Amino acid sequence: MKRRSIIYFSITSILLIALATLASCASQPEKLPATYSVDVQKLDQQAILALQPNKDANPFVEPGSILRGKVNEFVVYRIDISNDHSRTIRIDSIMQDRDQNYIDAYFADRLVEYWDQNSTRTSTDKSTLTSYAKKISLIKKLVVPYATIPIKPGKTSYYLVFVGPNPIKRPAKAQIDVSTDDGEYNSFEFTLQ
Amino acid sequence: MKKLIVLLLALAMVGAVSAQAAAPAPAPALTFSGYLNTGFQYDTGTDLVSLYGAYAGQISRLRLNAAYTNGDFGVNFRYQSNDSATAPAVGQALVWGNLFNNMVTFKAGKLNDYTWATPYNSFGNFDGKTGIQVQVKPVAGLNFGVFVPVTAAGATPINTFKDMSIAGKYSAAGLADFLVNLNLGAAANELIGSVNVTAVKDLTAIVEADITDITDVANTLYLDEYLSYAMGDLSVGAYIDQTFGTPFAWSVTPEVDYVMGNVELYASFMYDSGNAWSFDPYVNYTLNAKSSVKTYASYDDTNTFTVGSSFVFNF
Repeated sequence: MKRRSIIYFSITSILLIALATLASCASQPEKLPATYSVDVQKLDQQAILALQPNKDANPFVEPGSILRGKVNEFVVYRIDISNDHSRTIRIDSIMQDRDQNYIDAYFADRLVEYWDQNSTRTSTDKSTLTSYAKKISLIKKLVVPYATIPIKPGKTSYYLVFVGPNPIKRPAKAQIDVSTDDGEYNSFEFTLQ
Repeated sequence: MKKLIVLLLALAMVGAVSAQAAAPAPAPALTFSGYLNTGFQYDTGTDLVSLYGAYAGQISRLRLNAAYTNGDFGVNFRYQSNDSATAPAVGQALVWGNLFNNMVTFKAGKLNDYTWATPYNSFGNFDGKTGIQVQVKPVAGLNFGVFVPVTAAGATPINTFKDMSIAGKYSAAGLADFLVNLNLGAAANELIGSVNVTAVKDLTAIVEADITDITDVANTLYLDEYLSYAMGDLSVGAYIDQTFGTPFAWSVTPEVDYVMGNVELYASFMYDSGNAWSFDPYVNYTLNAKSSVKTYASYDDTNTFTVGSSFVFNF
């Protein structure tokens, strides 16, 4: 029985990963980009909700506050990379508000931790657990996991989230640098008005 | 031994390269947040109208959070009522710090940590537990360490360390997150594990296991699986669980969720191995960025009909 239980867990896990891997490969084979290129865009509210229309399950929608409107202000950027061969990229970012105060960019694990502390989920309400699981899952799939990331050939997108006090004092300036282990370098600057 | 040292040094160097660049820290900040979660419901089973919150079992909960952050160090507090909006108590009170370019994180006090908890049911979390936690992050994606429970009453060093938890998590980017958490302090040694598949953007796929006594896996294993697939505004999924032992028990809960702007329509149907079932729809309306109201109903195999509304106000 003990062995059967462990086998059951292992098989279920492997099947899920295989299913997910197959699903990710099932789409039309993508034509590889001829060259390496990077683009960075700031996401508006519509683009953020397109990622997950349910606000309770969307990690890019700030927790609300009846006193302040929002607990924090998130500024979300999408980094699109067209990659012609396997390489390692590095993402460095910085944001400063009007008073030169720094605003942190949260990588995936830190954003998960943020939501751990700002969640209203309760174990007796499955719907809150469901929303939370979807939220965490989306962070793990989309948000920059760490500064240095190995990427495969093809198109890849990562989301970078700056988390500041609400409201971030305008004008604020952000700079996002994407460099590679073979010398490519792109820098993007944004001004929040 | 030399090979081990070389390996550790190599890991440390890779980790140093992989760790987040030491960006300038924001100015020290003290922030407050919290929520009130309350509501009311009526059910035909008890013929009572009761205080209720978020479909959560007679809960009216007030929570206040405070966080002071100064670069790589900080302090967190949580003050929270019980589920009847009375007897508020300190739920979390801790200091934390990031050391060595964020390769090591420590927390001490009454903790708030979910780093090594499973993603759906949060098995293995240290929320509200008193003690010291050390997380080591030698390479990108890997996080392991220990939690040592420490109480105000104290315990001998041997008894303190024999009750610790040893845990680790590995995030394979674009594939899955893997988690193992061994709690030596449970009544019997408890082993928790999970796999969270991250390979497909629209698919949420989680498997969790909780063995509350590793010497009796056959009778103490709880398994659950959560699957959900999103198609724009619509998502469909199912929560399935199995409780091993005698008798073997299971339940399955398919769900459908549809979002129209600020309105969320949700319905699930639970059926278990004891032939119990319940149908649980709700409508959640986001009033604004600050608050939401949920109106729900439930009908089950005991012919109990429940209806209610819950309100969540964030501070």
